[in-house]
Amino acid sequence: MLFFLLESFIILLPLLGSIAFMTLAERKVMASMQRRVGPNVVGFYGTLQPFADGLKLLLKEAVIPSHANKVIFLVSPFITLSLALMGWAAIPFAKGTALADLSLGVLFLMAVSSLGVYGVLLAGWSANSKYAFLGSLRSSAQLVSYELPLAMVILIIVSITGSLSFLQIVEFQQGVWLIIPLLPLSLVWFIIILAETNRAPFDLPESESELVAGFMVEHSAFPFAFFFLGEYASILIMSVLTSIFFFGGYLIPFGISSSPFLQSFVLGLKSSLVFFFFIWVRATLPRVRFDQLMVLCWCSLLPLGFAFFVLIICTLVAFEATSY
Amino acid sequence: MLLFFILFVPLFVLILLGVHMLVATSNPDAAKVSPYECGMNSVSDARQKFQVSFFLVALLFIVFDLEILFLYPLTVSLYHISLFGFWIAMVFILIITVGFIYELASNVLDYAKTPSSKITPPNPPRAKLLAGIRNYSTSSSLPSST
Amino acid sequence: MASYIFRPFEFVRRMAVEKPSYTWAIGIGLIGPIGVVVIPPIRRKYFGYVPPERIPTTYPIPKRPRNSPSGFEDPDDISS
Repeated sequence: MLFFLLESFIILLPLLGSIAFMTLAERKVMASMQRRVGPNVVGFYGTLQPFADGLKLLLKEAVIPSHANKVIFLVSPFITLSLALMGWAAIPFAKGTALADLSLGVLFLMAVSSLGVYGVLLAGWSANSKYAFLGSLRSSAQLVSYELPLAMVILIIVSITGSLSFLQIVEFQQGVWLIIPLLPLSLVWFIIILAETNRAPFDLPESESELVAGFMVEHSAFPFAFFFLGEYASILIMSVLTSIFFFGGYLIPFGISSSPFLQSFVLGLKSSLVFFFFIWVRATLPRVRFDQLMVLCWCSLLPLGFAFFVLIICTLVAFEATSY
Repeated sequence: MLLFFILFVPLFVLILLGVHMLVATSNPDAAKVSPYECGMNSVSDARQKFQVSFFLVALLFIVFDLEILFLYPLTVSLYHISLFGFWIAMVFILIITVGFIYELASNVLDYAKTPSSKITPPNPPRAKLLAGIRNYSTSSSLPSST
Repeated sequence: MASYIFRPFEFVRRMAVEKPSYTWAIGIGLIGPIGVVVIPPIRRKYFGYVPPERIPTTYPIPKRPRNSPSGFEDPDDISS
């Protein structure tokens, strides 16, 4: 029992720490892209800024609006953060270093991440504010829509590797990283993960100029911090998923080394590069309109996802390369 | 281990929330707890009618998610079902495609063309467009202040 | 639009400009099943491909002499 507790903390505390530094990294990188300095006062070169922010949010007053359904109002950030942290159980950080090496890990992660829409929906409904309501409508429509092409891409990868286990998906890529045979599909995937995590240019739910902060406009202090942490945890999980599915996960190129320490370091490096891509896109592209977002999903990505799925399982069958 | 983690994570989040409840101040007043509406007093309840497209998207999602759920077993058993099962799956995907074409053709996804908004021609001539802007700015339908 | 019906190549070219994602999706989706029909005979005829025997998945295992694999034995001199 104590061992289980220790193991859970070994996952959770570095995860929360990395989320804190991700927010700092985002502010610093975006500042550099916009020729600013960014946070540089708290700590050495601004390194302690996220912890100062967290402490401030901890001490602030949590305002619960009088018209809100108070229980659901507090439960929704709780759901969001719990589900975003739960998905990390199935991720292999190095060979044999997953918290629970599930044979159906992909399915588990899909289930947990698709439950995340409940947090958004409940938050917008319970706040009883018009901005929050509109924001949650948009956000949930966006999340459920982009889950379909996401599932299609994952299905293609599963049909190539022939397994729903993350470990086998990674081990399959020892010959070649899947981004090389699946380059067009990886572009589709990059669009989807931006939309699935509500990031710019698809950050319609929290478009500041029209909806203030979207579904979390009424949440303050720590409930707000929960949404914030949950959002960044899901961004991090999408970065790790990208590196697992397309960049060979923890595999070190050319088989130079196979020490678990180096492998987990390489996985972190790959995920950080994907996260840099997230920030880069945010600093570069303007926001799209909501109908454009939905049309992009339903009329472009979903037909293309189905077409690629048919093409790839047909190729596997035609060349009798199906894995068993 | 997985079960422990699944049970422990909500507890951990709950502890964080509890710590916050202990240390944070709390002295609400009437203005603080009123619904946020950009400084105005809120005029009505937020649970109003909303555009039907959101509901249609949810409906479509249910149908398509089920269809994709049926494809999961196909991907891991592609070898075992042999060529016969593969062609059955192709027929299934063909049926999905027919349904998808029907859904796209009935314009449920096109937010600009749903009945709740005015239908505009796709490419209005420039003169007409300018006239439209002028009409809008002069005869905007703002509610009167009476 | 109606005049394009008798000129399928021009119709596809026009659709590739107007509705690129649908056109490419239909195109990519059609390549697959056609490939399943076309590719295996070509491989067998011109590339001398012999499909491997399928792994038996049903209980009454097929009535045939078991050909045990050879060439995988340990070497006689263990010292090497």
